[in-house]
Amino acid sequence: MTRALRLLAAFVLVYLLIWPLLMLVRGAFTGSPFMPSAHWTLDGFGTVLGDARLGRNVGASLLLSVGIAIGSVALATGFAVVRTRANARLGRLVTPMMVLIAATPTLFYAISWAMLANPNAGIIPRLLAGAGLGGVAQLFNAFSWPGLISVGVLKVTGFAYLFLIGPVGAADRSQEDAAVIAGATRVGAFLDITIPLLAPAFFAVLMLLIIFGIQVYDLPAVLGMPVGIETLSLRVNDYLVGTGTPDWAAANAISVLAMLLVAGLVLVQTAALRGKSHVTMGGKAAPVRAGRRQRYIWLVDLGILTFAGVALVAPAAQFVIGSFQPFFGLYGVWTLRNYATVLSDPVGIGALQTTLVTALVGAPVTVLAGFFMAYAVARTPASLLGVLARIGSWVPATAPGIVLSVALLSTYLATPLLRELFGTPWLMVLALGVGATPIAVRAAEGMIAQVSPELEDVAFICGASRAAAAMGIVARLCAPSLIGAWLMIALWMAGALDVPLLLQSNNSQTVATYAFGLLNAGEIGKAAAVFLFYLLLLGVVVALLAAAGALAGRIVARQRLHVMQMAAG
Amino acid sequence: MGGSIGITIAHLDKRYGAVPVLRDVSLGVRPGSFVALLGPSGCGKTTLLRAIAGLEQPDGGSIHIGDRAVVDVSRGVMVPPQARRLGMVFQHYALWPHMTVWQNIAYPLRKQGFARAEWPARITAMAEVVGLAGILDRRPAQLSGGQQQRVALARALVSEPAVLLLDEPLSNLDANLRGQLRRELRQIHDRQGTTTILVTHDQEEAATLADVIAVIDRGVIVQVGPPAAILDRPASRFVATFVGYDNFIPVHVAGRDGCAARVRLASGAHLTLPADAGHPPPGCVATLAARSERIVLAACTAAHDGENWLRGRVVRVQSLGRWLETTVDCGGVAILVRSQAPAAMVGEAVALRLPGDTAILAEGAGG
Repeated sequence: MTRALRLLAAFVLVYLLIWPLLMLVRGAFTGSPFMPSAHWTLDGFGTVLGDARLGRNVGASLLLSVGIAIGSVALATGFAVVRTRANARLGRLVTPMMVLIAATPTLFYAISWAMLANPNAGIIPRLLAGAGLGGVAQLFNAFSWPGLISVGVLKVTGFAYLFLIGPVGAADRSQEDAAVIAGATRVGAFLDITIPLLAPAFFAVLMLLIIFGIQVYDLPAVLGMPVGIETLSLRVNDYLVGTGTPDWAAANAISVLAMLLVAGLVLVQTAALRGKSHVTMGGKAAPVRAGRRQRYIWLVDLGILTFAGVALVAPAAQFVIGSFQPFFGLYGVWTLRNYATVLSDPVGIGALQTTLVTALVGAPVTVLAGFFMAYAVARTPASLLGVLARIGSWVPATAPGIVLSVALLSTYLATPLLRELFGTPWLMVLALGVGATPIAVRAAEGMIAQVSPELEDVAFICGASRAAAAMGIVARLCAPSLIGAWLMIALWMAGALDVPLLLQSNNSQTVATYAFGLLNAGEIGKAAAVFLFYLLLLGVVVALLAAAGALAGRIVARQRLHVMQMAAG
Repeated sequence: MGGSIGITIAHLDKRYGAVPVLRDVSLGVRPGSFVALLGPSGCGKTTLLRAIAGLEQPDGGSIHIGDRAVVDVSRGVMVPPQARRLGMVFQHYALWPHMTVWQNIAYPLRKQGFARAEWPARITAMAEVVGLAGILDRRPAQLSGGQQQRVALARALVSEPAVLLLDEPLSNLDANLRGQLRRELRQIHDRQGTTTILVTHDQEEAATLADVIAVIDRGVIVQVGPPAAILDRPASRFVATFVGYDNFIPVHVAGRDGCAARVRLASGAHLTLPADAGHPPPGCVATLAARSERIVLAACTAAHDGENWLRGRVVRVQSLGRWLETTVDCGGVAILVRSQAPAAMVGEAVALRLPGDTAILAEGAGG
């Protein structure tokens, strides 16, 4: 890569990923990004710190995030242990189930539970009431603190499991065996030995999920806001759209405070893990091998089935059913009206188009950018690009989505050419790309770590440049995982509500912002319909792409055969 | 300490899916003895040790520790590892890095309900035995490989187990330390008297430490006996190869005279070798197994025309560091001879004399 290209890449990294957060801090002292000549003021911080609701908002954010983190880590640990040690019949279903749960956009998961456990018309309270358990039915209310945290736990368990399955599976089984030989039970050995040994992994995941809980917008927006639960992320939005005049200084100021809270948590995590050695002594860890099937393993199978039913099947089924109901709660009558209405609404069509563009253009570009950033971090960590890529891959993750939305808006409005794109789908695609960059980099990091640098060294020796080796060897080897990351990010972009929230206009809605608008208008069935139709659309496009890829592969293979036959004959 | 208890393994079977790992394994271990399970990687020796420990569940057979059945598949008996009163040293030690040396050694005492007041005396005494005094407050990461091995041994012995299981405990150490710890391990065994089972693929280690060696091949115990018997009288070509025999010469057993057997080579040469009741009877086709470093190589003179000398011609001489390996063609059979000094040149006619420990293997005792 030439020096000019490296500088250009460094500039793009700084502008897209780091600069917005600096603009956010500036905005906290200057106010609206729409005002060309801002003056410096502390009014924003004055408003936020003088707001009697601030303490409540911080408390709500912490309660939500800690509750979700603890609950999901506990469940995920249980499932990771089941997957790696229990030898249950349904054990193989656990990981795919968790991937599906993790890949489901939070907004639509929340909408589904808003229907399932709706105190007025939800199917769960209805079934319980029908069974004469009216008192119990009252407990199954998604619009409450227990409901909000429970739905959050179910959703986030997918992520927590995917983070924990690696460390739990790779834990040196001989460490536990040694404890069992010494007299401990299997459970005792896991608690005495494996849990303390995996403390860094557990702590890291807990902190990550607490940060997620502080940042999350869609979950409390759907299930908390209607019953007066207001987190920090909701308050940011409230300063901008809750009153007649947007208070940009206050929104920026509370965003900065939220980021400081997150940064503080990251520092706590770093300090707590510094200098601790929890590595196992053996150079070669004994693989974890599930033992013989135990007598009561059916209880574990039942647990897997129950969780799959509650966390995956029920919300999905409710979502589909809800999209075919003329009115939410009217069971037994089916209609396609929700789909027809959405597809006859130009804003709805626009939302589908924009989201499809993000999936087909924004998501692959983000995945590739994330791959190159992760590559720079892994292979040239001390270079300018490596350092900027590492910082850039974390900065958007420290800002809650709604905060990032404020930051991106401030940045794009202050940039001459980009300003003209405001209100078009392209700015939305750019913002979603920035928001998804941390996910893309994290996904690529894992893939690149599995490719031995020696494979590239051989390519260098054969005359390949670094870029050629990165694309021809590493990216090629990571291709299946990169395609998986593309689909995951495409789904994330379709469901992200907070990042595009402030950038939307009638011409640049996404499926998420459009569905959220429908939900707020009480059109819950249409909200479900638009997302399901989008999934159908995406599925068709992916199938067409896969077919085209297979056809192209066959044509290339045939041509290669033809060339070989010509050479031979 | 320790209490001497024997182990009886009968008809043990273990499969991983459809792959048999142990096949009808039977073995008796006398109280207080030191038994080595010797075999190449993947032969099933560690699986057998783990089955004794209770870390693997056999598919058939039984294991008795003393009079107590800890495994009896036909009766559904499977005593969990923590209830078998064992000590075990793992190949990679499996020390718990979040605990100090003291805490590592104290763990079995805690779990097996020893009175807390007894711990200090037991731990310090065991630390003395294995040479760990003065480093009890350190963590495993602060110890050398040899010290880690001693901690693992102390942890295994501190609760005075009925049986000590050692899973290749010396394989991670350098040659000097391995030799030193090997001697110490044997001394500790002699002092404690604990019945001990060692898994190893190192014939020298097995011969140095064990009273009895059981050689395992593909899940089957192929030979059991004292080290001298295994090393000098291998029962099969597999065992012979594994314990260092590197010349295999096809012969015909021509006759038997008391403790001597007369064999004929393909070249027509005759040899008379020591034989016992287990050797193949006259008329059989057999294989001679000889160690190359024990074969005598000499220049061809009239003095070497007598009994037990073979004639041949040197076809290759290769340096192997401090050894010279000479390949001699004896009537179409290539025989390797190792010597420390140059003994002959390529093309030279030489005489060979096979050593007294040359084994006569029955045809079909391959493997």
